[in-house]
Amino acid sequence: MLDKLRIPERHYLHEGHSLRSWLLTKDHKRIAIMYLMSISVMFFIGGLFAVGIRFELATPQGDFVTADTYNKFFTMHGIIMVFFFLIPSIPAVLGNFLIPPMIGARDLAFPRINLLSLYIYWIGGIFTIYAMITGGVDTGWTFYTPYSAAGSNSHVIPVALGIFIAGFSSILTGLNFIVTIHRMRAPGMTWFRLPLFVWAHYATSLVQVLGTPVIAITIVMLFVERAFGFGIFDPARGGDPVLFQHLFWFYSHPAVYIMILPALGVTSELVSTFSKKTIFGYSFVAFSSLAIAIFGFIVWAHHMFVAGISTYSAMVFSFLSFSVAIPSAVKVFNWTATLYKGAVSFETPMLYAYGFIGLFAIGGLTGLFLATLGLDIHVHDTYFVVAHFHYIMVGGAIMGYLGGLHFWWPKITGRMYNNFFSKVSAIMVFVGFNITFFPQFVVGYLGMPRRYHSYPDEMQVLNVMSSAGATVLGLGYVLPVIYFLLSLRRGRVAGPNPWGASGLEWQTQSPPLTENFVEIPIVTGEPYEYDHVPAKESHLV
Amino acid sequence: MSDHVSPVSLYITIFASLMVLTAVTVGAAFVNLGQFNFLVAMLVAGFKASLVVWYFMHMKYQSHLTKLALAVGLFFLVILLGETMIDYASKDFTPMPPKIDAESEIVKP
Amino acid sequence: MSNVVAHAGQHADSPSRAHHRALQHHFDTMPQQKEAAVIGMWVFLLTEILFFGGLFVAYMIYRIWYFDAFAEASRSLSLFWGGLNTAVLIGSSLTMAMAVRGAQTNKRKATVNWLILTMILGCVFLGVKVIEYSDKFEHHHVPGPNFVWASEHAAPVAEGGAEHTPAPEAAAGHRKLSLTPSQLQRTTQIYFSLYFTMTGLHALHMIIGIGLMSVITWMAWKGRFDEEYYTPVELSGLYWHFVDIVWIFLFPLLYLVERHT
Repeated sequence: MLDKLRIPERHYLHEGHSLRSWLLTKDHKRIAIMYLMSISVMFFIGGLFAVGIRFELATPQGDFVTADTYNKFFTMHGIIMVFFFLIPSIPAVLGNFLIPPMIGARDLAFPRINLLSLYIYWIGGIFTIYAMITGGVDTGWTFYTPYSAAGSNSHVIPVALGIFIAGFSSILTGLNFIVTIHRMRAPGMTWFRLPLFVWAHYATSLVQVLGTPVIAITIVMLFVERAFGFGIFDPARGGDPVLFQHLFWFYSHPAVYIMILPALGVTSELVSTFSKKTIFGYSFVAFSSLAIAIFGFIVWAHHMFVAGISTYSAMVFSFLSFSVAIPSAVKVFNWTATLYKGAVSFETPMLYAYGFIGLFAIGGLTGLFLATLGLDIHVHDTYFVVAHFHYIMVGGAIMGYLGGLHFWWPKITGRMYNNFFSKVSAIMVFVGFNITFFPQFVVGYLGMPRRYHSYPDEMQVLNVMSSAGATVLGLGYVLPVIYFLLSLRRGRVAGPNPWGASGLEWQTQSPPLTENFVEIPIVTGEPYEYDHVPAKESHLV
Repeated sequence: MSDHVSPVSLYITIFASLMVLTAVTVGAAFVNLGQFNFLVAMLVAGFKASLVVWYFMHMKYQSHLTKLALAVGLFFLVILLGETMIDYASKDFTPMPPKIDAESEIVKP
Repeated sequence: MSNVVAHAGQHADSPSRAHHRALQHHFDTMPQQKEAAVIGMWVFLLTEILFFGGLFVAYMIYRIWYFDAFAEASRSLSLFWGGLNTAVLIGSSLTMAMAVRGAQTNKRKATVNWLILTMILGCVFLGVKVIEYSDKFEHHHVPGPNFVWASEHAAPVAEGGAEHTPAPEAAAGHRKLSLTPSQLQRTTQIYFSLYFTMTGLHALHMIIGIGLMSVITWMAWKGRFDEEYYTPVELSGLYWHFVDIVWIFLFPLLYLVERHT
């Protein structure tokens, strides 16, 4: 019944080829592509700083750069990766592209605001890059006062402004998603028929909208302190630096849930598709996304256990931090139950999903170590913390992002990438990641502090391992750029549904029409209705 | 399509109420209620804000979703204020030094 | 395996339905579009609540710690100007509500007039703020290296003596500290840091609001709105009322800390 598959005549990439048609577009799909290009650039800039860090740490002495320069390396690495890569990544690229088709809509609720969020992201990025080029920042991505307000001679203000501006991009994306998911669903698309990817992005959007303003105001306060000499956090005038930390972490802890929730949503889609089974416990998984978002707001001071908060409040925050692990665990158990007796396969996106589940579990469990008061005193500000959050952010969020990119690439471009090299790079990423970051748990537990460019000689072996792993990991990240770009010209035409997946987005052509649907569908079935059909057969409606 | 159009008299009434309540706030500030001055001021301000939200901002006629959205926002504001206070209320406050010798240097960016 | 039934009849794209000229292609009906816009605006206002909220946290903690400094500094503010501004802003909320009502009832001229009146009142507010700020600049009440606090608004001291050391043990029961004059001098900077940041941010929002309103006024003048489509007026109204609400809280917090001495 199938002729050789062809790229359709009319699709969103053909709707105008001029620069103007891209820069002034209202199409959420084009905006997603432009975000994809922008965050990829930022990822590699952030990665360059990581290269600097790992290169320095290959030897125990601080011999590659001065301590001050090293401070700038890890600061810029953190700022770029957190604010300009991870926070936007899945929502701005995959969320923007997929939420309207997934819910049966023609676009997001506010297409021009979507475009504005992209422009704002660019402006914020330019401020930050400018600050980097003219000398950088050395406060750590957490820019604690009093050093950031009064002590540091580096370019705190432009970077702070860049982050402030980029925060609005995040807020606008979240706002758009919330209104879209509430008010633009196709007939019959009830809340409990939504893909879990959409639930995850809804929860993420709540966090973006409620949390980001608080770091915005914190930056404003830092700005007036630094630029005008106001004294809100100045101890000499009665100010409290710990107050800065409370306000900073009120956002920055939920921010980590902005970074992981979308990846959790992607994983639900991948696990279901590649075991050809409906997600076990759909409503539990859906509600767990909301629970993570809500609980994520009440645990922030677990970053401040040794900062001078009271013992009583430390106990409160520690207890609440344990509880936020519960909804995360719910997801892991439900994915496992989904895989059980499923028609499990090992396509590239699924390789990333497997990696995600294991690494997210390790990262999450080590979070419990950190939430334990007594233990945190020992490992706070050591490489144990660094390893913990990289397990979640890189082993979790980035692998979720890559898995999603590999899964939806055929939908976005209409073409498949090279199967062999995609699997090779997935394995390289997994192996390289573990070699990079597992030793950091050990070396951190042994007492190696973070943010130091030198360390005791006896820790060199583990650090060299880590740096070697980083090389493999880096190569694993470079490969996809190559085969993705090649696929645009030479990839096999994918057709509407190369994976045999469920979901409205797979019922349309690849690449999609600008308006997504010829006619808006009416939904009557449940999500993830699989009948164990092998993935090789491509399904056309 | 019909959006509810409020009568002018309603708006005038709300305006007058807000002005009266402003006078109440100022007046109450001149009465020594000790700890309760702050509470009274906040309650009056809260009530004034509610009038603005309910009538001027038409919240009375909005969907449940809009009302819920506002409630959620206020809830998290309370979390921000309240959970921060848990820390400050449960620790001893170290007084700042009575005198410092050198003025703190403020470094220009 | 698919969860879609191919769409039979009703969908919003049939060309026979007359579209309001302002209906965007991805919405089905004007009410849906308007409701989405209103919800979107409220979500944005939520972000503003949390934005100002951070300043309220800082204010709350320092007011508890340094109450005497806050009280003294607050008394140095002009109750007249503050009260006047409060009345002006509440009045501008009334005129804004009337402007929205004018748009709802398709009264172009009334809408334009009420909007202009709102902007005028907004400018009056800002003018008063200029007066207040200039006064502070003159008296060196701007925190930073040039700050000077002459302590002329101190509460009458029951126990005499200029430079008595504080009694931290006595204060340990409450959060409040009794402050030496030197400490008072320094902690009033915290009050003024918050005063300028909070009112400055508020004033910035008002300037943006007036800017927005001038665009809306122009659109209203050009006849862009009718009873089916006046969403931009409604949204600017929501924004303006929010700015009023912030001031409703700022006024007692900054001007009325302790006026009964």
